[in-house]
Amino acid sequence: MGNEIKPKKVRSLIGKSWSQYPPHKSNGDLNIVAGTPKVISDILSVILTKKGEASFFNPEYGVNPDLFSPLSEYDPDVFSSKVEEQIRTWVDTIESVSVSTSRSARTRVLDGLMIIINFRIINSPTNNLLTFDYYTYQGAIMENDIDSFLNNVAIEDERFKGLNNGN
Amino acid sequence: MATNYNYHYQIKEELNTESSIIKSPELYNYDPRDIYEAAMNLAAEPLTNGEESPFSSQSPNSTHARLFEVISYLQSLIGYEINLVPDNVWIQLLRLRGIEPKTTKYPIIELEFGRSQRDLDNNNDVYVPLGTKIYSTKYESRFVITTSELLISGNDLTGKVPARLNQKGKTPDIVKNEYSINRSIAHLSYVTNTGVILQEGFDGESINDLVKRVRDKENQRERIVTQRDLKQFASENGVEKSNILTNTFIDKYGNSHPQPVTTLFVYKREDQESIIPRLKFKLEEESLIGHEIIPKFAIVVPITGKISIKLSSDSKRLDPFDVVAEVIDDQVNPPNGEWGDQKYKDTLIQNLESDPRIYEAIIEDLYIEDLEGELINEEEKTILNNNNLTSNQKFDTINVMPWYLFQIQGSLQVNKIN
Repeated sequence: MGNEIKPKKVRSLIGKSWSQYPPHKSNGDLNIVAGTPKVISDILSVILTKKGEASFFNPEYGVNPDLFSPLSEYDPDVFSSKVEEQIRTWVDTIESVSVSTSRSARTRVLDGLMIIINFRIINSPTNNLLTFDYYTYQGAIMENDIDSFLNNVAIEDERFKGLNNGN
Repeated sequence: MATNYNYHYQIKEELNTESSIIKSPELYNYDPRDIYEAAMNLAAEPLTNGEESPFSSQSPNSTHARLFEVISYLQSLIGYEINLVPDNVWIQLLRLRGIEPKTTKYPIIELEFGRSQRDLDNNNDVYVPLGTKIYSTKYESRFVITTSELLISGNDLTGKVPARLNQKGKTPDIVKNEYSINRSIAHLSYVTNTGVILQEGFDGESINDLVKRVRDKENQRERIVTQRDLKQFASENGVEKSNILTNTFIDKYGNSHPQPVTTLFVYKREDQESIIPRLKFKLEEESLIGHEIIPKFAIVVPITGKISIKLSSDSKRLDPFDVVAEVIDDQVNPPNGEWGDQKYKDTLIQNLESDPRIYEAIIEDLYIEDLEGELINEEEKTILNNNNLTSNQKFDTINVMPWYLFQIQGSLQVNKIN
């Protein structure tokens, strides 16, 4: 009775969040992600958002190039470092990250570039290798729908099913 | 072409020196970032069962962060638009609600003028005209202006006159003898402020103050528009029991229409002198225009008769009259009981039998008390007679009206059944 002793309510370090990729599950529920999928969702959020597109309070948020911006601005090395910087800034649950791009036979677009993100989550012993086709690098917005895009997201060279609940 | 920017500096300077131009505070004070942070914090709170919230991550990458951002940003746009609405529009709207802004007031203080004994001996009158300026010894810019004339003559040595400050608004700190610099009046020995403030200054009401006043007024239910308002108002003014009737009239086609006349029936004749004038005054001030509210008194019908009761086994020793009197006083007689109860006999029996001490109650007889008795005054007697209520009239023959209250008298006979 009265003032019982209760454990403090703690928040896990990574936390849970409502993913944007995609925002809903196949049954219509909110796509709430936690752990590694949450970090991957955060990474996708940053690099698929155009600067100034979504965040009213953080105008520097986002890295996605404009549809008709000149390709010369996006030298692969410069672009990689840009992406890396953005992830470091906005995904605070990452301890280390390195980004590289490569031409891959897996890309479905001619001369398509694959983005390879090597990151380690905070308090985690292992590195994760996130790869997916970054079509927008070609100067074109994603030509596929979001589901096919997400099917192409791979972690450790295996298709990653964490984001859309395995569907 | 050379452009002259002097006017810009001129305006700036004028604005600086003009004390009455005050930047109005923003009506709708809104910081979208604060709202965003508050929403994110709220969403991240653990659930009531102690589980982690599904929105516990506060990074800007999540969908919920985007959603809160957009909502708070759009709200800030609305706030911006609201702040663009000129104050006059709000004032007019509030006027529709019956609230006028109170205007600014000058502080008014009392000045004392005096002449010397020599001037009195020489018959040198002191005349202080209306609008004389007396300057402050503390501040160069402050002075007071007399608001009436003053003539010190005859055997008077001093005279007092009200004077207002040159600045509107809240009364500043005024020290005694602060206003004592006279520059124009002849034969004056001294002038000073007595320290008396005749009227406090007032800054005027801001829109925020006005809005607050409207809300307070709503909460206090000062208005009298609905019947509930009227009832509340009556009870706040010391009316113990009230009944409100709206009249209707029936036209030749048989349809009934409400008439703009409401009658408020008030119980307790003793307070007649104090309540009715107060009610009338207030009603004139507050009620809807074109709608008449008539305060009237209830007609209290004195009832007596014969009741038989059977007491419950635990209460056999009690005096049946006391038990019945207690129940009637607590439950049935005004200010308790219903107005114009057509099933008065049933109500009476129900109330009596719901008392644990009474097992059964039977009304043998019920009629209006002898109106010729000493306890009923002439006025009440005439009112009762005008309503066709006569002495010893049987209760069942009474044509019950909604403004009747039945009051059982002490002459009631109570029989005990074993």
